[in-house]
Amino acid sequence: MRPRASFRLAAPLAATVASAACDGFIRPPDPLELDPDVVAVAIMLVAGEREARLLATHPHRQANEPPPTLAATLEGPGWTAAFSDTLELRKCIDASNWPGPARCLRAALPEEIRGGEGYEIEGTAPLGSFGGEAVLPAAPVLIEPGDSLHLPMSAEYGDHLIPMRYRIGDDIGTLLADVLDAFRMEEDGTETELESHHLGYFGNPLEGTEADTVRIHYHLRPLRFSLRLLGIGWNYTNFLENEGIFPLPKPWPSFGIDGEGVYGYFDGVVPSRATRVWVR
Amino acid sequence: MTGAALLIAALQQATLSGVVRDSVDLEPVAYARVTVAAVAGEAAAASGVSDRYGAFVVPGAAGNGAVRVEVAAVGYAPWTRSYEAPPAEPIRVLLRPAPIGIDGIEVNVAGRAGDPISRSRDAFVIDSLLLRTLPAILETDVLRATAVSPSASAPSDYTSVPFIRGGTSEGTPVLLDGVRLFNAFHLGGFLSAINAEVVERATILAGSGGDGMGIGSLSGAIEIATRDGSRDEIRMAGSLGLASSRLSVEGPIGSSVSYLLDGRRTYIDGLTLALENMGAVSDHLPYFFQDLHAKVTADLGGVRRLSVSGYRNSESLQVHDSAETNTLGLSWGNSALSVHYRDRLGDNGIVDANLGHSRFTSDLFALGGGSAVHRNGERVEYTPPTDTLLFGDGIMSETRADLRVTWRTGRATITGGAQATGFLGDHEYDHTDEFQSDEGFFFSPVTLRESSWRLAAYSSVEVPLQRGFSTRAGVRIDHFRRLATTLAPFAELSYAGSWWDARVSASRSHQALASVRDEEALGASFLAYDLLIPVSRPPVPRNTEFTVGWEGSRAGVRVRVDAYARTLDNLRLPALEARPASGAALGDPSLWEVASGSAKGVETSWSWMSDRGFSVLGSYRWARVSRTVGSRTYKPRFHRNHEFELGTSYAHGASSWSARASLRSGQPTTPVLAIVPVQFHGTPRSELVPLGGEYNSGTLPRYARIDVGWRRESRVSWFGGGSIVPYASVANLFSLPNVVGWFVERSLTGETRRVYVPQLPMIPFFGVEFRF
Repeated sequence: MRPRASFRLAAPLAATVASAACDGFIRPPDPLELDPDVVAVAIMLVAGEREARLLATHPHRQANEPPPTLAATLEGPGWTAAFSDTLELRKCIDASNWPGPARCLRAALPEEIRGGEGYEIEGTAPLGSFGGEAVLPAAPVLIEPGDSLHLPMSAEYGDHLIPMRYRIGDDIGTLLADVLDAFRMEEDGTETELESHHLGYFGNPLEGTEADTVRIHYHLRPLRFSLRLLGIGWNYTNFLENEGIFPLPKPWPSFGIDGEGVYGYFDGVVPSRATRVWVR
Repeated sequence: MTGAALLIAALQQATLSGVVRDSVDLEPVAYARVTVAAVAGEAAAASGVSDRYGAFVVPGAAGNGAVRVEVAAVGYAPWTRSYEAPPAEPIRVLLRPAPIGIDGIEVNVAGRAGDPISRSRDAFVIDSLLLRTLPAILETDVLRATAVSPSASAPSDYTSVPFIRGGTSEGTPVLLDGVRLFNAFHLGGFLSAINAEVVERATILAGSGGDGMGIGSLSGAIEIATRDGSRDEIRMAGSLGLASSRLSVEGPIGSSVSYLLDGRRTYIDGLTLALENMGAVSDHLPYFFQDLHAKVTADLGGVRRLSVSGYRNSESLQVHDSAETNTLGLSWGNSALSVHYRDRLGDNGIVDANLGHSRFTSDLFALGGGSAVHRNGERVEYTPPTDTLLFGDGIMSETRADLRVTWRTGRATITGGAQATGFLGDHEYDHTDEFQSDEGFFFSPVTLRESSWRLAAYSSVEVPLQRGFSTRAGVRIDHFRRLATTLAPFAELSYAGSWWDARVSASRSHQALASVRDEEALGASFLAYDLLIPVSRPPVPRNTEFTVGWEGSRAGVRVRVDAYARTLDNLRLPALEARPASGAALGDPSLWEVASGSAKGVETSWSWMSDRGFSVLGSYRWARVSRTVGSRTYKPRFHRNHEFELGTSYAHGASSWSARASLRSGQPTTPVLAIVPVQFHGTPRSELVPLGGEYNSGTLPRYARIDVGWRRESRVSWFGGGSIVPYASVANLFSLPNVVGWFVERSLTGETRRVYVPQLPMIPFFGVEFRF
């Protein structure tokens, strides 16, 4: 082929290539077409409370659509309670970017939730029935600190490190530190109540099997607060461990909930005794 | 009476041996058909085919009286010579290059240049002609070219090494001049590490029977043979491409020795540094690779020859901080040395002796913990990094001695061989949680040290039966140190008709090497590197396969169909974790389970070459592949059920155009059933849990891609005369949005999306090759 003829062939090729290049190089994201009637359920019983809360969400719908409608009952030792009351959503969740329309339901219980006890749930959702069971773990045993702990105010800015020793059973999947009743003592002698997140982030599980250290943020003023452990069962732990960006293939670990078009977890949290802490 | 007549006839037969060479550069000519016929009388003609070194042995020639010897090979003028009696000593046949109408000589020669399915019943053969008619991806690439075989499937666009018939890369050694080459690629696997300039052919052995018996692997082999150096004069060839330059020099030393020296060096580092200095890019890529190969061949008379081939490459990524402290260093490379000696064994035999040693080393480190403060472009404060975040090094080596005898009698061809192989794997890598560059995407810490050796003996015999039937049968015995002694039989029955032939075979093979690769990890699609380690405990990984094949040629169209079923036992595979895609691509096989796999499929390929410069090569493959680990059986992530490939090329005058189209079904993926939010207890933080269906029960979008290429040869008078060949190619011409995986993302608007991990987008490549 003579050079000129060769270039005649090359020109349309170059034009084709150039036009194709403008269309973008990679496949754009697709919206995930998932069943809009799927309901996500989150139930975390709290030992010591006489109510149970159930968070139901349509995770595949827009937030401005109606929340899910479902009927569910909780069964304890010798009693059954229906989730019949609707609460404010923040009673179930305080996440700001919760996907989809959600509803917070409450069941009044005839007795307190107890650690080591088994509970069952049954219900119906738009796509069918669901059920599940959870055995709450035994309460974690806080060994150290004792009933009270006094920490000196540090001259330097830095976290207060509180060593904790404890004993937990195999039924605890997640062990958290929890701060409550936190107050800052002001110069005028008054006390200002603090949210726990002002004292630190307690969402990361304690990793030591028998001991770990809790970090409390430094404040310029003296503090007092209660510190305890929270033991959560394996249903929630299994569920949380699988957050991510890739789908979790079946068979799934136990989440405590099983049913048609209903996904989520059913578990409970059991606190240890609390220790009073003073920083001054 | 009949026996006596046969005995007399046998005694009157002679054996002709010799070597076929190109008359210009004296390169051995493979696949030449040699026919020996009596000038007078009715004795049947005997014939044979030259092997990869140009050698032939033709037993059964008429022992008394004059004979005429004819030699035909594609691209050469026919050679005819008459002798008063069959020569007792090996003859030398010099074929004169000549343009020959390809269709016209098809019946005379054992293969067609550029046609991978015509040369071997056991393999696909990619010769240098086909290599250059495929559209170049970055540059002419021998490993990428092997994907024209329907037995070979590329796991992703980013890796040049294909998987063979549902096996994975650890079961398919890449051999360079008979010695295993570890990680025979650069750029994470994108580009093969073998200079295409010196490749004579690449042979894809898909099975363990036939020629595969001498390999002893689970999933065949990719054999790359380099050509000998020029024997007539000093020649030079090379190329300038986007990523690297290649150069080869070859020539004679005296009258019987030739040499070939070639090398390649990338300039990615220098190019990106220049672009950074010009402000065109923000950061340059401090990465380079280079490779060097040398081969010396001595012709010792007749079929006798000795060749020594050496290879070495290296790659390195070195990152420095603003104070020029080396904060990240990744260096690796391999070297290989092989020696091949060939001699005649009696009148009818050829003996090949090979010695080879190959070694791969790696060295990684990363530092952290430093800091620097800059004001107005000036560094005013600097704390050097002192924390070791990543460290490790590794070695793997293989030493192999191989003795092979090929013996031809009047009716049968007997092959026997013995091998001794030593293997060492010593890898130790660790990294801290702070090593953010990896994030578990590519490798997890491993400490592996194991050495082993293997002794093998094998033999096979090929016997023609009556009425067009023939049979091959053999056995290979392996002794794996501390593991087992295994038996691997092979049997084949074939039939040759007038224009077609068919065969059915069964074979078994073993291999005691495990891989650190977890092919279910998404990172495995981007990184082809592998670390091998001897299996330390029984059982030995095993392959058992059955194949049925048919091949025919009419009117210039050649068609081959193969169906196979194979089982893979005693593999070492990781148990499926919660989300396999997010696992490390390189793991610890000592922690893995004894697993199994299976594959079955039908492969069809066809070729057509006109004498007007047009050729078509196509293939379609359907297959089912599975792996079973524990109680879970799944389809591996690399597998596609359907693959269709079509390549065409058209040569007219000095120019040639080529195109290659690929249509493939999607690779498996896990479908999503629900995406469920979860709140971290006691905090306002929430995340998403994507709940999926059965593992890999869904499929990714279909794959389609078209590559095109152009090259034009121009004669020039520089350096005493030669040619320059500018080339241009475009990968994925229409930028079809192929994907290798996907993940879930929640957008700022609250929409949950499937975000795709892309395959290769449209990329143009260009360069120039030269030969003087």
